[in-house]
Amino acid sequence: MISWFRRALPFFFLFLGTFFLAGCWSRHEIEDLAIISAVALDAAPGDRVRLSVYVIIPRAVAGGPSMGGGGGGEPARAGEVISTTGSDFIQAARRLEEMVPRRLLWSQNRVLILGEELAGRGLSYLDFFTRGRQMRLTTPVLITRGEGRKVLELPPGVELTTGTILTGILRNRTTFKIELKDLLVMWEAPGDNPVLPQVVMTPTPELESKEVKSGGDTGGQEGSQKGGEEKKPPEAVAIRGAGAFRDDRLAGWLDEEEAKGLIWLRGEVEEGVITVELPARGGDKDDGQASVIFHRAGTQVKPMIEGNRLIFNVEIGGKCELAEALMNLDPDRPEDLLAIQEAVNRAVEERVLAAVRKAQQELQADIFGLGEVLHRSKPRYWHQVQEHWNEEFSRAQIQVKINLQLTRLGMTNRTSGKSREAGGKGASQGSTR
Amino acid sequence: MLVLIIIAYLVIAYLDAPEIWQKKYWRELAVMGIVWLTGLVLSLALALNLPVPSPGKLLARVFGPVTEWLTRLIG
Amino acid sequence: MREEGYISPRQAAVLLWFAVLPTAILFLPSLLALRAHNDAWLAVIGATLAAGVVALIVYLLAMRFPHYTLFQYCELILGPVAGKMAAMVFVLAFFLLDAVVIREFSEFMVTAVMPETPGLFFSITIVAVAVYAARNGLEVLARCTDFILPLMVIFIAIVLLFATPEMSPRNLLPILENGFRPVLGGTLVAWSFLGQVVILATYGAFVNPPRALKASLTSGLLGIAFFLTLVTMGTIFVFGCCESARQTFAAYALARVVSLGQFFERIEALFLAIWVGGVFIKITLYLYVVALGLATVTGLKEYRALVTSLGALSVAVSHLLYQNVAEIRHDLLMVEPGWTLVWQLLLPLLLLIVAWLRGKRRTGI
Repeated sequence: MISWFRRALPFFFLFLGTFFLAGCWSRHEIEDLAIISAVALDAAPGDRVRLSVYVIIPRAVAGGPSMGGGGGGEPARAGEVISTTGSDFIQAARRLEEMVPRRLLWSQNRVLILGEELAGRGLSYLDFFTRGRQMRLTTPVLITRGEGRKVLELPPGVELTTGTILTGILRNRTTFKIELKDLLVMWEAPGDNPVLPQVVMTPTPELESKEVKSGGDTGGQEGSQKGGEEKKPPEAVAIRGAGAFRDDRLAGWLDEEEAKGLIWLRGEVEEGVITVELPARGGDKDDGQASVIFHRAGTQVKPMIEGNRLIFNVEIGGKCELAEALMNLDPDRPEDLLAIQEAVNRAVEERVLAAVRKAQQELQADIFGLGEVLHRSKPRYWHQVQEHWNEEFSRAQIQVKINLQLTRLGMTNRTSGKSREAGGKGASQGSTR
Repeated sequence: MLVLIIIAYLVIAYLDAPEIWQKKYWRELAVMGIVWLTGLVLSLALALNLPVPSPGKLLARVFGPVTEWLTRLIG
Repeated sequence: MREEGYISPRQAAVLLWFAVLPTAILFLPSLLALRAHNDAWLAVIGATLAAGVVALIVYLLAMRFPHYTLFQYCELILGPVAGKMAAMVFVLAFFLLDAVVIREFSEFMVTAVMPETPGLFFSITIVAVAVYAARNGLEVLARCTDFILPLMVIFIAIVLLFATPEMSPRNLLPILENGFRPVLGGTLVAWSFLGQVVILATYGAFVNPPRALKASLTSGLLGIAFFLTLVTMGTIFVFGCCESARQTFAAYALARVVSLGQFFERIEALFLAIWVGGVFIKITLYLYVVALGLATVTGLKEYRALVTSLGALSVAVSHLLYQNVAEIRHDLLMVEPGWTLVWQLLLPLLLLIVAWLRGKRRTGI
C-alpha cells in the first residue's frame, strides 16, 4: 500500500506542475497591454502635475507602415495622447489606468519630455521614473519650452509614433543626448549641473523650407524657429538648443550656438558640421563659404590655480573633413586649407565662449561639469570650493584653445566650374604635378 | 494557508521518515523530528501572524552596536 | 559524519566562488559605493586581504586535520562539550546565512522582476530544488557548477563588455579622495561577504588531496575578488558613485543599461536566469553544509534525512528575518560585519590557536 502510494507521488507532483507550468504567475499577454512610447511631464495648476503618455494603438501599427494610410493620403495616427493630472506621477498614472482599457506597459517608453514649468519646479519628480521596475535608465530625456504634451501630439511623419521620431532624430547625433541615468549623474554630482537637449516645435516642413533657406541648421542664425509658431499650429519637431539647470531647477535656455559650444566643452561631440564664412580674396568676387564635417573630437580640460584665481585650460582637438565649399578652392594651395581651418577653429571657439559667457554671467551654473574635472584632478582645492561651486565657477577664467585640423577633402579636390586661377584648366592641372 | 502548510510538512515527513524508520536510525529520526517540528510550529505561527521574534532582530541587537563601533573605529 | 565522495581541488575552488559571489555581486556594489564612494573597488581588495587571513586559517586547520570537517575538528580541538557548542555556533551561522540568501533572492525577484508573485513562492521553489540537489551530495553539486560556471562567467563578461559604451573610467578619480577611512568602512561591509570563504573548512574535507586546498583557496578567493572588483568598477564607471549607491541592485541596473546597436538590449532577463542558477548553487551548498554540520554535532550516521526539514525551516526563517529590502541593506551594512567577524574570523582563529597550544593534530588516516 505504502509502496503504491510512493510510486504515485511523483505523478501527483507532475500533476501539480501543470498549474505552474501552464503560464507565469503575473503574466500579461500583449493583447492586454497598452504600450507607452513617449511620456511628457508637465506642471498643472496648484502644485499638481500632468502626466501625458503616447499610447500606441495596436490596430494602427499592426498592419505595418505600408497599410497605415487607410483611405486618405494622411497617414493614420498610430497612437493616442492621454493625459491626466495628479499630485504626483503615480497618482496620475493610476488615473490613466482608469481611462485606458488595457494595462500600461512602461518599459517600451522611448523618451521622456519635460515641460518648462515642471522643470522650473525641480527634478525630484523624476523619482517615479527611476524607482519603477519597468522604467529604464537609458530613456533619453528632453526638455521643451511650454508644455511637453504638445510635443506628443505631433502628427506621424516618416516614423509613426512620436517616440520613434524623437529617438530617430537623437540617433542622428546632431545634438547631444542625455539619458535618464546621465541626468541623474549630472544632478547628483556636486560639480555639475544638468543640461537637457531641447525639443522645439517648428512649422510644417513646407513652411520651414521657405523660411530657413537663409540659415540652415548649421549657420547659427536663431531666427528660424521664431516665426512659425504663431502662424500655424506647429507640426514638426526639431531638437536644438538646450535647457540648463542650476542644481535641480531650470535656470535658462541655451540657443543653438551656445548648445553646440556646450557640447564641445563637455567633450560630447560625436559628429557635426560647421559652416564658416571666408572673406573675399584676390580674384574672388563674393565672400566664400565652406563647411566641414567632423567626427569625434577630443576635449581636454586642465584646471590650474594661480594665486586665488581658478583657470581652466580647455584644449579641443580633432580632425575634420571638407564637406562643401562655396568658394574658389584649390587644395593644392595649402594656404586655402589653412584659412578654412583657422576659420573653423575660430568658429568653434566663438561657440564655446558663447556658452561659457551664458553659463557664467546669466545662469551662474556650471553646466559643463568643470567642477567634476576639478574634483578629479585637484581634490584638495575642490573641498574648499565645493560648497559654493556655482559662484566659484562664475568667477573662474576659462581659456579655450582649439586645434582642429582639416585633414580630408572628400572625393574631389578643386571646386567645380571654370577655374578662375590664372591659366585656367591647364594651369591647375600643371600644378598638381 | 494553514492547511497547505500542514499538508506540505506532512509530505516532507512522508518522504523522509519511512526510510529512516526502516533503517532503525532512531537518533536521525529524533533530530529530524525536532527540526521538522520547529519548522512546522514556526510556519504555523507565521501564518497565524503570531509575534515571533526575528533572529535578524536578535543579531541586530547584539551585533549592531559592535558593527557600529567597528565602523566608527576604522571607517 | 563523513561523506562518501571526493571532489577535485578545482571543483572546490569553483564551489567557493559560488559560495560567495552570487549574492555579493548583486548587493555589494551599491553598499560599497555608499561607504567608499569612488574607491569601492579598493574596498573589495581590502576585504580580499582580510578574507585571505581566513583562508590561511582554514588552510592551517585543514593541514592539522586533513579529511576532517570543521564540525569534526571543533570537537577534536575543544573537547566534547565546548567543541559541540562551537560547532553548533557554526551550524547556526551557516543556517542563518542560508536563510538570508534565500530571502535576498526572493526579495530581489519580487522587487525587480515579478512584483505580483508572493516572495514565499520564490523561496519555496528554489529551496525545493536545493533540497533535491543537497540530498544528492557534494559530488553532484560540484558537477552542477560545471554547467553553471561557464554561463555565469560568460554572462558577467558580456554585460561588462557591452556596457563599455556607457562607461566613463574617469568616474574612478580621484582615488582616495577622503583618505583610507571610507575605504576601510567599505572593506568592513565587503568583508562580511568575502569572509564566507570559511565555508571551505567544511566541505574542504572532501577535497582530495588535502594539500591541494591551498590552490583551491587561493584561486577561489582570487576569482571572487576579480569578478567582484570588475562588477564594482563597472557600476562605478557607468553610474558614478552617487547613482551606484542609489541603485539597490546595481549589477542588475548595469545589465539593464546594456544596449548595443538597438538590437542587443534588454538582456537583464538572461542575466536573471543565470544569476538564479548561481544563487541556487549557493543556497544548496549552504543547505548541504548545515545538514552535514547538524548531523555531525548530533552524531548521526546520515545527513540526508535532515535536508528536507532544514529546507522547510530555512524558508520559514527567511520569511521571518526581514520586513523589506531596506532592512536587508541595513543589516548588511550595520549588523553582518560584526557578526561575521565573530564566526568567520575570530572563532576559526581561536580554534587554530587552541589546536596549536594543545598540539592537536590528526594526520595520517
